[in-house]
Amino acid sequence: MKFINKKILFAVTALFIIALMPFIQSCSNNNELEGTEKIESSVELTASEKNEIINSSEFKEYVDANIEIAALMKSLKVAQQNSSKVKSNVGRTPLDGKAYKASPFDYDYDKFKLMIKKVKALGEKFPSAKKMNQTEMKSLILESISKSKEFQQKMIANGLISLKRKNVRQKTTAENVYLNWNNKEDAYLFTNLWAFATQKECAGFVMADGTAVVYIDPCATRTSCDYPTFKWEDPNGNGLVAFYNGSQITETFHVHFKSYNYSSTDSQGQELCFPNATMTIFYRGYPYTYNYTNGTTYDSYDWMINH
Amino acid sequence: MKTNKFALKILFLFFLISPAYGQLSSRYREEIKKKLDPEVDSTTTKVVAVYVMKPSFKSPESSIRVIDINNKSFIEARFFNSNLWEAMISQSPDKLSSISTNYFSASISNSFRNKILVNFTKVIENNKSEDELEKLKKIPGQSVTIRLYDGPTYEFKVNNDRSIKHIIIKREPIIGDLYYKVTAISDQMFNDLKNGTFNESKYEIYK
Repeated sequence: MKFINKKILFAVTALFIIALMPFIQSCSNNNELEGTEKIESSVELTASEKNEIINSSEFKEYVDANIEIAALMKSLKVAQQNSSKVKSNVGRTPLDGKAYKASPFDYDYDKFKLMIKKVKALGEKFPSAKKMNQTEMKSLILESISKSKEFQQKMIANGLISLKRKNVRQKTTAENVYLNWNNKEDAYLFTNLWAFATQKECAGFVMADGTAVVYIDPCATRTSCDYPTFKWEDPNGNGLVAFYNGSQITETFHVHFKSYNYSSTDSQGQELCFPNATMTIFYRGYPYTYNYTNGTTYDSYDWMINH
Repeated sequence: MKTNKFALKILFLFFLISPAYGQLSSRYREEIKKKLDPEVDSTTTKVVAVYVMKPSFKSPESSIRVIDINNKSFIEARFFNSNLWEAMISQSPDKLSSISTNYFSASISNSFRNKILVNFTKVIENNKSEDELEKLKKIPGQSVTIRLYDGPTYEFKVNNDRSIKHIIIKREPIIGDLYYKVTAISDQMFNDLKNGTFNESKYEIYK
């Protein structure tokens, strides 16, 4: 117990904010309150119930999967910090980010799949855990880590906690991540897995040359995320289009947890910032694409199943 | 009734041929204003406070208003029977024509009225910098970061003797802050008005 001091607990708290609660997704139907959709239900567990959960193999495996996801986030940020800033000829460089050229082979999708599996296993064994809110679950995870030297060592090995680092929270919450992809299907897949594992919205855009960018906002929530916008141009005299890194943006996409419909705010943002680009909403893994020119039609396909 | 349905279908077709998302948003806002915060006869009635809750999806939009008529105050609750936004983008004439507005009201004391005004004003002042998208409209085409938001939107308006204060908040309330308390109690008052159980003494922050 001496090994864990307040600094480590603080660091762990900050790190798990980015990859904490996939529970809610696994039981999202139960948690969507019809009236105000703003308060997630929670339940007060007794001390013995908490102990039972913490000591279960399912929970330990779940915590381990969380550490894997947090380590992945860390590696993405390190890669981004080491890459050079992308320059743009026609459009504008993203406001405050560096882009990291990624390929699907850089990511271990098994980590996401493992997380999803562990979440389901834990929910099946402890139905009451599904109703816990983020604070309660974070508290259980911290308790579990404080009791496990194995978890602590794994976190140190992955650079997730350091005794020397003073302000981990600031470092882990201040940076956005841009991930460039060679094709949109891989970007789609990553976006959905990321959103599922972290329970936060995630967004991106597709260029005319078929490449795509995923934008990760560390301050995103289940209902909101920041999204970069770019200078408009009118290259062919056929109307304004947005550019990223010299390529025309033809499509924007982001994840929804509650509906495949676009919201009123989505539509405003699309018209104002991405004129003449289609908008894709991912809901439960499926893409629903809305065409700017007719405003209301959508088309979905089950590419997810084929991956 | 037939004429009414026909008019709604015509209205729907108007939405359908809309070429842009934003125009639909603008018509949506107009419909919300018209149905949930309708015009009053200003010679006899004054709207002093308005609260509009717009879930992005599924749940119906609703409002609470405080009005003054001849030195007496009343609280009003209005709500649709289903979500207007989803009906508007659904391409279904039947869905849109099935949207109706329900209305309930009760008289309130002057003291209760003033407490609502004070708390609404505080929420407006505490959240002045919320609507980033509105600011963006002033500088179209600039490279900025916008916020995608798919949660409920809350609108507050206070019209006291000195000025009109207004805000649209696109952020989910955080448990514990005044914004959360006011939205939670407004929702409770709304449900009580609907169920005929409204009672001034029930609402903690207005006691």
